[in-house]
Amino acid sequence: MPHKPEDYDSRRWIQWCPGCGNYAILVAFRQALAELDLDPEDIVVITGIGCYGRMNNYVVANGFHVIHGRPIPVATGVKLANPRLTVYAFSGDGDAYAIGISHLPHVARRNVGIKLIVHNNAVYGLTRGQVSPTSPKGMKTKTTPKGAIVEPINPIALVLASGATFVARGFAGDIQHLKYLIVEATKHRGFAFIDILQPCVTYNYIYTYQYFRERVYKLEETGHDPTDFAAAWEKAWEWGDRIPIGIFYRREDKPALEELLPAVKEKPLVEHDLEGIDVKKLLDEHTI
Amino acid sequence: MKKRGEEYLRYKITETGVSPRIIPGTRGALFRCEGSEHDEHGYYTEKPERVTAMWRKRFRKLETLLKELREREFPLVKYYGYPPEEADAVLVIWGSVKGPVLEALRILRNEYRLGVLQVVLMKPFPDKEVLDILTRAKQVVDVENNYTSQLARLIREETGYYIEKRINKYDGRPFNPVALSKQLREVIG
Ligand SMILES: Cc1ncc(C[n+]2csc(CCOP(=O)(O)OP(=O)(O)O)c2C)c(N)n1
Ligand code: SF4
Ligand SMILES: [Mg+2]
Repeated sequence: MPHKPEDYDSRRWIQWCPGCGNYAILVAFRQALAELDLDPEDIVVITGIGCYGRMNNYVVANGFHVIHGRPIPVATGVKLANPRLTVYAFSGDGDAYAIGISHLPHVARRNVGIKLIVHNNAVYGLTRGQVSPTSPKGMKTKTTPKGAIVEPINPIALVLASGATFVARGFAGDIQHLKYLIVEATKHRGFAFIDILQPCVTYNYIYTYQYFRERVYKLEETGHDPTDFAAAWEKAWEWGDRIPIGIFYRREDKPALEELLPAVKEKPLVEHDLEGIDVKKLLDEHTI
Repeated sequence: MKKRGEEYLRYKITETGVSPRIIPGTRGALFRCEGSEHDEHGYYTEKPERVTAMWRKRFRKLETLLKELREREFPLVKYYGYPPEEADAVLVIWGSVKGPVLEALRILRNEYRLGVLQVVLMKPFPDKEVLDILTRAKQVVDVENNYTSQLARLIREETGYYIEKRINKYDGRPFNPVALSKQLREVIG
């Protein structure tokens, strides 16, 4: 019997603020899993630290809740150990674009077949409203009481420039479109990146649902060609009165890292025999 | 209603504190590794009785580990030189200090009968083994390549035994056996 979205509902008490954009991402994610008809045993949901980090608790799947900024390396390890698993790394704008940013260009460059979904609310939500790398210039936060004085980072351009093979942006106000992006990202051969505009109704007074509703438009409805890098690059810099969402760039001809690594290509690490390893001998050898 | 894969308990509360572990991808089981406090399934929890049970389980695991290491005769501590009762002094060390200390023992072999206690495992701490040797020694000297006598502090925390005599070297260089021998002469007297 095919899966239904509620099959992935762990029925746990959800702690997000009422109206938070995370709810829509959770719903879209469960719907996408149902559409992909994945068995919970084959899904791994990896989250870091932030409000969004509770995602793994609300989905019936394997889950790893890891330290701040490190969903990408953990997801990479899981994928390389067992490429048969469908691995989703959930991150925040603080998690992925501040403390954990060093992992981002490399996972894109290596084309590890994980799916990175960033809940970008342009603020540190969990720690109660500090400025983040995507907070707009001028935004007042706990740490920028007179307004942020520097320009935000452009995650789409950063990931594109790093050689990513699937680059998309979603909006938490459009569940159907978000579901479509997650499904396409999952079907993608290598690393897939989705930055999601996620209203934080408690701490971000600029990026509200209304702000985005008035501005976002779908690339899919404009005849944008996602195989055209130059077009993607141009769209990556569009921000203001009009904000594109959808798939900026996609190419399926580049092999994923797990297809290239000799140790993994022959046989997943997970299938290697662990019997007969004498730890004591090693310890004797290596303790001084 | 039980959800698929929830029969397996990643953090099952057991007598040893150790929960059976599966490989993610195993049919009929979900591997849920949770960073915040969790229940046996690996779901986040704030329920006081669950939190308490999980703390107890977690620390029981360390007791189990120490017990097993003892049973398997893993070298939690190592001992060199004269037995504690016969030694003029027992030197307490850890890590790379071992080399120069053993060399100093050789240099001082006609002057002192020395023993050396090397602590190998720091956590869980081999309290019985360490205390047994220290309480039998006539004199104890802690020799460490740091300012704060990290091991002496740990020994005091874990066993209550206070080592008064200490040799610390913290000039960014390892111990030199000849210089150490001189210092030992001064400290042991
Ligand atoms: C190593 C480390 N540094 C700092 C923190 C404090 N901290 C917790 S969440 C967070 C930022 C979260 O922001 P984001 O990733 O955008 O997630 P959000 O809460 O907005 O969903 C920080 C700095 C931490 N938990 N660990
Ligand atoms: S603080 Fe913001 S991001 Fe966090 S749960 Fe509340 S609305 Fe959502
Ligand atoms: Mg955030």
